[in-house]
Amino acid sequence: MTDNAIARNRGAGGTALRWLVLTVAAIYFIGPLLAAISFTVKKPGGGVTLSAYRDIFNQPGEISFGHALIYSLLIALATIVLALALMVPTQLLLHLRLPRWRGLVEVICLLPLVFPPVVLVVGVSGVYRWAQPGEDGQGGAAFHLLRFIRDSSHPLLLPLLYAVMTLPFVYRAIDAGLRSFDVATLVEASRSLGASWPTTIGSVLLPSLRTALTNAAFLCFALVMGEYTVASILLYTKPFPVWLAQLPTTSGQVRAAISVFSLLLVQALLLVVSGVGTRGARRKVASS
Amino acid sequence: MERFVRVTNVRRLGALTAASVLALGLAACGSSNDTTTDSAEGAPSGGAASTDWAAAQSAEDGGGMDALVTAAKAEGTLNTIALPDTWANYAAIKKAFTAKYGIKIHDENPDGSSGDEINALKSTKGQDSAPDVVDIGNSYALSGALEGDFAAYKVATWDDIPEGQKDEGGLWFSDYGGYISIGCDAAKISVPCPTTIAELDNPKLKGKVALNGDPTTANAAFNGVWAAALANGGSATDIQPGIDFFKKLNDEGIFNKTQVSPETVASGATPVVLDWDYLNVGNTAALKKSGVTWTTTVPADGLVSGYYAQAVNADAPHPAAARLWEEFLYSQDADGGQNLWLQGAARPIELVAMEANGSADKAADAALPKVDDSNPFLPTEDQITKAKDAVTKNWSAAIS
Amino acid sequence: MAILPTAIDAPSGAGNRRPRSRARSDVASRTGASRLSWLGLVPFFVFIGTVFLVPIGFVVVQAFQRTTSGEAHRDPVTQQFVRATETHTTLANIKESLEGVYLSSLGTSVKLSAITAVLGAILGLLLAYAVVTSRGSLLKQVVSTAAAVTANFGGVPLAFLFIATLDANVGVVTLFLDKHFGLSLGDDLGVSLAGLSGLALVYLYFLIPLMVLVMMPALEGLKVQWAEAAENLGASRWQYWRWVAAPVLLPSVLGSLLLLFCSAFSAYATAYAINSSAPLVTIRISSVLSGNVLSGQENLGAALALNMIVIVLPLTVVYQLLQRRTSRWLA
Repeated sequence: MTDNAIARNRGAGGTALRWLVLTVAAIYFIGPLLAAISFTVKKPGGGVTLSAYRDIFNQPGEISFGHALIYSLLIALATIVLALALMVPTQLLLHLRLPRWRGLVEVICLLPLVFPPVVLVVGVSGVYRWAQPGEDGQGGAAFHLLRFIRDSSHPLLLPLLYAVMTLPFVYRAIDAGLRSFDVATLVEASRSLGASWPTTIGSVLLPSLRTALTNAAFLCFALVMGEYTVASILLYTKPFPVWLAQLPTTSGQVRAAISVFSLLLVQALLLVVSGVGTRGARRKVASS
Repeated sequence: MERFVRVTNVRRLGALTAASVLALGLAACGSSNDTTTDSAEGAPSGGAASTDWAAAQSAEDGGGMDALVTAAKAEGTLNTIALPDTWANYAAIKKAFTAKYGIKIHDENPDGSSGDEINALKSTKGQDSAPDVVDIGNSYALSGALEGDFAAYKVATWDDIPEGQKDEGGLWFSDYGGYISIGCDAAKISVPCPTTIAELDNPKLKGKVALNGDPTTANAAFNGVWAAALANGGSATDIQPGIDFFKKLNDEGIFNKTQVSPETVASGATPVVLDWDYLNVGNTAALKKSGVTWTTTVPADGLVSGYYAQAVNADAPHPAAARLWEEFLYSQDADGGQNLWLQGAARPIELVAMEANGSADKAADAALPKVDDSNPFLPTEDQITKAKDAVTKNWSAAIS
Repeated sequence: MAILPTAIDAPSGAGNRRPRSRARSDVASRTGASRLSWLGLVPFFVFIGTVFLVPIGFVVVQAFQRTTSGEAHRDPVTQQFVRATETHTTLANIKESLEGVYLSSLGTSVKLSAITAVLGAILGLLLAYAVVTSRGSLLKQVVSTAAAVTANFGGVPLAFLFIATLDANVGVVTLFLDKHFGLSLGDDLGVSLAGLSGLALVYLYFLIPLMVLVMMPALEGLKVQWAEAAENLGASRWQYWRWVAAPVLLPSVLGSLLLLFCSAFSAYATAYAINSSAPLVTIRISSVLSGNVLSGQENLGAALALNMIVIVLPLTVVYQLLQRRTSRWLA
C-alpha cells in the first residue's frame, strides 16, 4: 500500500533510476553466479551436463543429505528463537523505558562482529580448557555442563554461539525497525484504548516490526546454514554446511557445484518460508 | 510497569519453552539417527583394560599385539582429526584400517590445521569427541611434547624410524613426507611445464604460478619459499632470496595469490602450483576425471623435503584404538600404512629400511617423482624458527 | 526552509522526545517501577556474559600473558617432559602486535574496511530504496531472502564466483573481452582480483546485501504522507530528502555503516581465498591461532584480536556522539 503510493508518486526520472539500480545490481550479483554455474556444467569435450550436481548426492559417507539438512534446520530454528526471544523484549525495553542503556547494549551487540570467528572459537576452547577435569579425571559442575552442551547428539553449543554471532545483525535490524515508527505513541494509544500488554505487543508492535523481524530471522537462518568455520573447529561433522564442505570429492567441478547448490538451496528454503509468511499475512489482512 | 516486565517474562518463558522443546527435538533426532558409535563412556573410566593401554608405551607393555587388537576392537571407534581423504592417500588408509579391524573411524575437521589439532587436543579433555591421534607439523610436535599433550608410545617398527625423526621417549614420530614440487597443467599454459624454480620466472606464465597458501599459514607454502631460496643462492640460514624471488614474480604479474583449490586448478585459474609432491601427485587422478592432465616434477634446483609427525593424545578417549592405529600406520606389510602412504606418493619415514628389507611396494617406489637428494637440506629447529620469523616480517611487504 | 512533519506522524526521532518525558511522569506516578526496569535486561546480560564475554575474556587475558619455561628434563619412567613454567603478565605481546608487519596489516585492514563500508552503505542504500519503492511484494521477497543468503556468503565459494568471472586467465568476462574486443581486462581496463581493489570488489558482494537487509525496515518507515505533505508545501525532491528523509534515516544509516565496517574488518575466509598473502590483520591472526607454520604464538594472536576491539571501540563512541547530534537536529 505504502510502497505502491510512493511508486505512483514518483516521476519518470525516479523510475528510470530505480531500473538502472536494479539492473546493475542484478548484473553484479547474478553475473558471477552464472559464471560459476557455467563452469560446473561444462563437459570435457564440449556440451553441458549436470553430473557435478548429481555427484553431490553420490558421495560415500555415513551421514545422509537429509539428516545433515534437518540437523542444521533445527539448529537454525533454535538460533532464531533464541536470538529473537532475547533481543525483541530487550530492545523494546531499551527503546521505551531505558534509553540510557541503549548505547552500552549497542556496543556489546556489535562486538561479536569485530574479530574473525576463529577468535571466538579460541575463547570457547579456553573456557573448556579451564573447566576440564583434573588429574583424577573428575570434572566439576562446569565441566559437565560444558560437555553436555557440546555433545553432537544435542548440540546446544552451536545455537548459543550462532545467536551471539548473529546478534549484531539482529540488533541492527530490530533497531531500524523500532526507529521506523513511533513505538511509544502506538503503545500509549493501544494501552489507553484498553489493550493488555500481550495484545499490544502481539497485535500492534510485532506486525509493525514484521520486516525487521523477518530480515533478522532470514539472516540467522542463512548464517546457520552456511557457517562452517566455527562448527568444524569445534569438531562437529553433522551440520549441513560442514557436511557439504567435507564431502570427500576432489573434483573442482563438484566442489564448485557444491558452493552453488548450497547458495541456491538456502535461498529456496528462505523463499518457501517467506512465501508462507506472506500468504499468512495477506489472509490476516483480508479477514480483518 | 510490573505488567510489562511480567508479560515479557511470559513471552520469554514461552520462547524458552519452545527452545527447550527444540533442544529435545535435536536430541531425539540426534540419538535416533546417530550412526557413529561414540561409546557413551568414552573416558577411560571403564575396566582395568582401557586404563592400562593409556599408560602402555608399546604393544608389549600392554600385553602384546593381540591384546591390543582385542582392546581396540572393544573400544570400537577411533577419533581422528584433520585427515583429508585426498591427503597422502588417507582415504585408502582409513578404509583399510576399518576393513582389517572393524573399528569405525570418526574423522573430524578434515581441513583443520596443525594449530586446530593441538587446540582440539588441549580443550577436549574428558569429551567423547576428543581426537585420539594427531598428524601435525614438526614444530607443533616439538612444542606439544614439551607441553605434555602426547602419550609416549613406540610402535613395533620403532627402530626403522631414522634418528632425529622421532622423540627419543616416543612422544612423537615422523610419519611421511615429500619434496616441494611443481604441479602443472600443460594444456592451460603456452610454454612447456616448468621443471625448475628458475623456469617459473617466465613472462609467458603471467598470473599462472601459485603457492598453496600463505607462507606464514601453510606449511607447503613456507617450504616453497625456502625451495625458491635454495634455487637463488639461499641456505638454511638465509630464506630471503626466496622472498625476493617471489617478489620478482609478483612484480612481473606471474605470481597468482588466490587460494589454490580443486576449483581453481580444474578451471585453469592456477595451472602451475608449488606444493608437496604427494599432494600434487595425489590430485592427478581426480583432475584426470575433469579432463586435466596434471604432471608433477621435483625441481632439482630447490630440493626441500618436509615430514609430518604422528602423536597419540595423552588423554585419548580410545587409547587402545589409538595405539593400534599407530601400529597399523607403521606396519611394513604389503597392506600396511607405510606402503599405503607409498602408494599415495608420500615417502614413508621407514622407506630406507623397507627398501633394504624388501617390504617396500616396488611399483609405488618406482613411481615416486625422481629426486637426486645426495645432499639433503636439513635445517635445525633453530634455523627453521629464524626463517619463519624472517618470512613473517618480510613476506607481506614484498608481495603486496 | 525546514519542513517538519506533522505531529501525528512524527518520525520516531522527534516523537521520542515527547513520549519520553511523558513516560518519565508516567513512571514517576508508579513509584519505584523505573528502578526495576533494568531487571528486564538481566536475561540479555546473562546470555551475552556467559556465551560471549567470558570466552572473549579468556582471549583478552591471554593477550597480556607470556609463559616462560625452564629447561625440560625427561622423566625416565613416563617419558614426559618436566619443566618449570611461569606465566606472567606482560605488555610484550601488545607491543609486538603494534610493530612492523602487524601494525601495517592493522592499518591496511582499517583502510580497506572503511572504504568498502562507505561504498557498501551508499550502494546498499540505493538498492534498498529501489527495492522498497518497487511495486509488488515478489521482488521484495526475493531480494530479502537473496540478501540474507549473500550477506553470509564468503570464503572459497564466493572467491570462486569472482575467479570464474574476472580471473586474468580463465574469467568469463576476461575471455569475452579478449575474444570479441581484443581488450585485456587486467592491462587495458585495470580490473583484476589482485590487490586491495580486487578484494574490495568481492567484499561488496556481502556488504551491500547486509546494508539492504538492515536498511529496508528503516526505509519502509518513510511514510508516503511525508513526501506528499512536503510536495504540497512546495518542497523539491532534494529538499524532501535533505530535510525530511535524511534526518530520519541517518541514525540507522550510521549504525549500518558501523556494522558494515565491522563485517569487512573481521572478514577472513574471503580475503584469504582471493589473496592468501593479503596484508590484513585477520590473516595474521589466523596464521598464529589456526595455522600450520607458526606454533606457540597464541598470545600474540590474542593481542592482535584485542587490537581489533580497541580500534572499533572509539568508532562506536564517535557513532554514539553522532547519534546524539542527529537526534538533537530533529528538534
